[in-house]
Amino acid sequence: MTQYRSHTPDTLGYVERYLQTFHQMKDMFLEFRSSKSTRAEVNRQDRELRRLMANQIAQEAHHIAAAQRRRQADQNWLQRVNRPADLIQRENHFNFIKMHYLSHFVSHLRRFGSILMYSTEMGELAHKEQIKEGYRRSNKNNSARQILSYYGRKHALGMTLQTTEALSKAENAFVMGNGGMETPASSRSGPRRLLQGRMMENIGTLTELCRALNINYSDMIEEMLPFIRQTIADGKRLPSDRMELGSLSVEQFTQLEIPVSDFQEADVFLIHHTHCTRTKAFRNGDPRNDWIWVQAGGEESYGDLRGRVVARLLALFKIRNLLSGAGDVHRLALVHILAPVGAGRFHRGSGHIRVSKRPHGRDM
Amino acid sequence: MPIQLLALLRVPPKLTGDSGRADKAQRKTNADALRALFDLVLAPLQEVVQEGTVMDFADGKTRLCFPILSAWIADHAERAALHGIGSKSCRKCEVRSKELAGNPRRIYEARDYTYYWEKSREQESGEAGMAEYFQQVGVKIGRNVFTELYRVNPADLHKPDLLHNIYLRLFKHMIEWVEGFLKSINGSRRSTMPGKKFRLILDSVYQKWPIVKSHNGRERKCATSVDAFQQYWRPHCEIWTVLTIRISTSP
Repeated sequence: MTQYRSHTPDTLGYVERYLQTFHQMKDMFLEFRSSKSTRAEVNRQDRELRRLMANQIAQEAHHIAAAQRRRQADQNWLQRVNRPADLIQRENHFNFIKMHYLSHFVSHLRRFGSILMYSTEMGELAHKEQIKEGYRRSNKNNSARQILSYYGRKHALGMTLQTTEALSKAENAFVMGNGGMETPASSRSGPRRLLQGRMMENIGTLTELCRALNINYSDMIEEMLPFIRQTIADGKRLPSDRMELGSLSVEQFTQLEIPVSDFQEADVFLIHHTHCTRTKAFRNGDPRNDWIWVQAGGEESYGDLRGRVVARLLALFKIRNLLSGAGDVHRLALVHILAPVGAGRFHRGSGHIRVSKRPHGRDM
Repeated sequence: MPIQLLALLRVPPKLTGDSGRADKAQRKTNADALRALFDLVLAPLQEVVQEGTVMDFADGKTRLCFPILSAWIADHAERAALHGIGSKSCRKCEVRSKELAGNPRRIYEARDYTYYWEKSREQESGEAGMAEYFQQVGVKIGRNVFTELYRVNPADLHKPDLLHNIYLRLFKHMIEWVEGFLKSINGSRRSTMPGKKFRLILDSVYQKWPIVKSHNGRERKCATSVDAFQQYWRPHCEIWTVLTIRISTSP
């Protein structure tokens, strides 16, 4: 939680409480903090104890009854277990400085804000960018001075270029605004979803794709038609005719990159990779066809799922509308959707939302 | 964030180990050289920190600014050398080396480096008992490199370090402890979980859980292995409920 970019009293309370609980329960790991010397000492003592016990048993073997021998063996076993445990408890500890520094995190957050900006990552990276790179760029003669001046010069040039670029963009936007045109799409939208990993199979049309996926072509067409009707721009709309649709060029892919906005940071996107290899092996392992969330309706639908449903990827493909002049490309995913049980409400007993196969109709 | 490289400091000679006296002399020379260097590096800052300096701003205005040293971002070992304290001492408070893993809510007395400097001068003038006091509070050098800077409290220069403190140290430790814990259980459940299968799980997790929100590769590696262990051992270990909360980097 210390990685958060901003904090509230609640999150600070969590940090404090988690740390307190960790300190209360950390002793369960004590035996795994043994140093080499402690482990060697434990082994040595165990060996000695075993030898001692073996001698004792050998001496008393003829004098005592079988039941007594068993009791003696149980006692010996207990002694062998308890003795190393005592030594470990005595020798091991958590007294290292970085354990203590955690207790200062919350007070620091209250006084100075997010910890991220004080991390040494920048400084560690500077060793590479400023010093090592600076030395490589120098003529190795009196290199210290050249290293010192290298990064400052590079940074100043970088800043100049960025300023020039920002100024030129601002000028363009001003001209376009006067002309009543829209701002460029790239400046207002986030990163796009990308299809990666083209499948090298003999699939060129939608009918061939259906055959490869073992799906009825008419089922596929019925799934495609709602999508085609939803497409607003008429010029970019795919043909709704069955024969024309079947003849369009199709490419299949194995990976979809989905940009997901970062926690607490609307402008930063993390790329999540979903895979759909169908029957092919994924990295020499089993085939991989990921489960994904699909926004299938508005926020008010599907109860607590708020319009999202669980689905499994069946195929990722790109379909090119050769019949239109522009040759528009549509990136599509064929998914197997599971229906939420109980209108998507949390199950009282388990606290989970349950999903199942659709009871009627196709499940694509 | 612009980073300006100010100086390249030479690495001091290592201790010879010939004799205790020679090492002590070498240690003192190193400390003096370090202090002299920092005086030199920080001298321009000290000139402007009292009177201020006029700086140009991006909005076209000029303002009178007082640049004050507010943070020294470095690893514990480097900062311990700069603050003149022992490696098992906190830069911020006077916690004893045997109480480092104590109750996190306990508040220890904050370090007062000016006081240490005064005490070290008294020690030089021959007052007895100071060496014991310094040893008790974990101070090695009375006058550190930040002592005489204007408007700077050396204790406040301490900043938490996620990289060395969490990712490379505690997180790594915790993974080792959890692995040790699981292996110890594995020993008692050998019939249901053979060792080879146990290793195979480790090998396969990197392929099956690639999407882990992470800050760096090392953390991701740790997180994936914990996740996989958790998947397998959940039926056997109730303890995982606790471990999940502690180890997850984002709830």
